[in-house]
Amino acid sequence: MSRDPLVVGNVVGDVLDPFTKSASVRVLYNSRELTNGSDLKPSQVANEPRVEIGGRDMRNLYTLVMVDPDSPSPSNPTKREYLHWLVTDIPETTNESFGNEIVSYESPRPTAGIHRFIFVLFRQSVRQTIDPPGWRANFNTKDFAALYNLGPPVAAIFFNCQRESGCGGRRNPSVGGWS
Amino acid sequence: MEELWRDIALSAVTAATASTSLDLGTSNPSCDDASLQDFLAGPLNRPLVLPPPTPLPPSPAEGLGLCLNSAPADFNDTNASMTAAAPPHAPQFDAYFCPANSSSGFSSTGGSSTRDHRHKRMIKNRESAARSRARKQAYTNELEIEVAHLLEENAKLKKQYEELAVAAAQLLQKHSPKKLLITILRKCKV
Repeated sequence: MSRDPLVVGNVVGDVLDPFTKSASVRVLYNSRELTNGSDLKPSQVANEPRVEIGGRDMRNLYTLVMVDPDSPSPSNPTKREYLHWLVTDIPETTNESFGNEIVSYESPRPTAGIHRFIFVLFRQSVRQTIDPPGWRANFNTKDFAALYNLGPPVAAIFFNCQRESGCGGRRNPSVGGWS
Repeated sequence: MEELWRDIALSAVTAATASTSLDLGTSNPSCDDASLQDFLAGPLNRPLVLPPPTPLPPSPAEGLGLCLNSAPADFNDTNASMTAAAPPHAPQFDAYFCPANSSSGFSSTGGSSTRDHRHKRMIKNRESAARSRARKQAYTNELEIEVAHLLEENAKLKKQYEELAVAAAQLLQKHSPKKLLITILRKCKV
């Protein structure tokens, strides 16, 4: 019975297979570091974040994938997974701006329900040319990794996002919560 | 209310052990307990269908008691949270009461589509609630990990500080502050 937030939040399960974290990543929106499983508003994630890859060896290259498995809605995810961003050849110790943006960052704009937005990092064995998929919907991170021999993920981090005027999953009019 | 649960459960246990006609269908441990409510609501609709007694836990009454003696809210919780992280006692209990396929075979004469709608709504709500709990739990776990990590780092840094303070004090005792300052400044220039 895992306590790993990625497992509890079903990131491992819906998108990824179980893996062991072997890279250190930081995702920063507006200079603020993202906490796994936290809630963010579309306005806070409108612009691409800084993704810093820790480590020491600049020769290691990484591929970054950002997907929404709950598109268009978590109860009916017909577009799972919706690809929001794809960057390759990111050298260790640097950030995503040093890599190759294959698919540009699309701002999360969920309309229905509370979506998970997941960043997945893969360590490349070689510098490689990756072709952008024809469309963003119904991307499959696992298949993508298999196709380009990326191996298992080395890190993953996610946040939750709902529409700007969302009620946070609560409908109860009383603010205090006790009625 | 809880007495009712207990009575029903006990009668189902005896039925399970005695029953010979078992419709397995697509019985799977993750079918939710919406079907239990319907099962209780319409006993005339379908025959008692239960999975075989083999998934019986070693002490069936105790296993059931664990679930039944808790409030209905907990009962829902253990069953719904199975889809997220399976609690130890829920699966067997769930296997007992879940007819094979939760969405089929509940229509009867008149008002069946309303019942279906209600049923579907109930399932959707359960799933939504489960997702909500998973979200909350995932965030809580992450925070706990961070807290543990920060406490460790803090302790390490404090220790480092102590050691450095001691070393600095020793140096100051041995040499004059002026001489130390000159030595350090010289090193910095290099």
